[in-house]
Amino acid sequence: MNRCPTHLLDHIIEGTPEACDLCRPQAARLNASLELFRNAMDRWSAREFRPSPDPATFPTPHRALHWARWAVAFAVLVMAAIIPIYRHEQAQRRLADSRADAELLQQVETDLSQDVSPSMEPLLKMAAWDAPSNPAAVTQSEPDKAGRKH
Amino acid sequence: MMPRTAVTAAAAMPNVLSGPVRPAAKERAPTQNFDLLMHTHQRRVFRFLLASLRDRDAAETLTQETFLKVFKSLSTFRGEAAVGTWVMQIAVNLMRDHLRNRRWQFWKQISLGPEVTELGGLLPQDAMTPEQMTSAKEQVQAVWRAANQLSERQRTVFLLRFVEEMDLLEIAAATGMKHGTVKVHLFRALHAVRKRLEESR
Repeated sequence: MNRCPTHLLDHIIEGTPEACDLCRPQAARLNASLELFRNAMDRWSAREFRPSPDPATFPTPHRALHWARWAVAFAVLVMAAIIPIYRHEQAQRRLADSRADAELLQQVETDLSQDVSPSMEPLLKMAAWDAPSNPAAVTQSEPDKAGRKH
Repeated sequence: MMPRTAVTAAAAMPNVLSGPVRPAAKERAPTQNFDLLMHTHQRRVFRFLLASLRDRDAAETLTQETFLKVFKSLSTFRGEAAVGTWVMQIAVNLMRDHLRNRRWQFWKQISLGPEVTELGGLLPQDAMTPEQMTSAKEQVQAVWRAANQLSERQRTVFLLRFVEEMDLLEIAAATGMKHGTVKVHLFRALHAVRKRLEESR
């Protein structure tokens, strides 16, 4: 192991030609490895490289997304116009529903507050006329009726 | 060290391709300059992006985007840095954006390049004995594994230094880091790679 790694790395980083005797063999080995790596990268990129013919034909993201951006902008505008209308409509419907509910409730309360339905009111009057003035008399006559049956 | 592909290609091209834009070069038609520039740097940019992203399709798309940006801003290029460094700076920025976006696209299947065993097959087989070939494969695999485990910044500076063979000042210009920061990242990256190599031996 090299005793002066800082010196060695400095030598490689700066590319200085002078290196101490201790560094020289390790620097040569490290440089050789880096050289192999560079060759491999060069060959890989050469294998994958396809030259672009003309810069005017570059499919840039700006051009490719040009219509997409307009479409998105249009969609946003439409949404911005539709959403308030939709919300207003929803609010109106909710208001109408609550009014209808209130009316129905009112009607139910009115109906419940009456003793009988309006069609039965004449009968109620007749029953009121036939009914005895003393309720105790009615309760006393009930066992008599039961005794006569037997 | 092997000769730099980009430098070799640039040597055959006008100065505009290897250094700051000169007045004579500025007089050329922009499209003519661009064709030369693209011819010189396209493979280099693609190689860096492929090694960084390990995704062929993404590397190809980003290479195209890089040169589209170069094409659009060629007339405004001030020549403060070498053209190659400027092109690489655009590529590095696009790569960072892509990696940032990829974090949010977790549902996408991303191909992570060749398997480590496949990488060894990319070495020139005729120039080595079988023993040398085995050793070389192991070394390449060890460096590849170590590079995959580096942080994004460390990997970027590592690849720019040891695959693209840029010097520290060029890397600083391309990545927007300070010279000292580049050196620190490179030091850590190299330390990790060296450790992995020693483990594999």
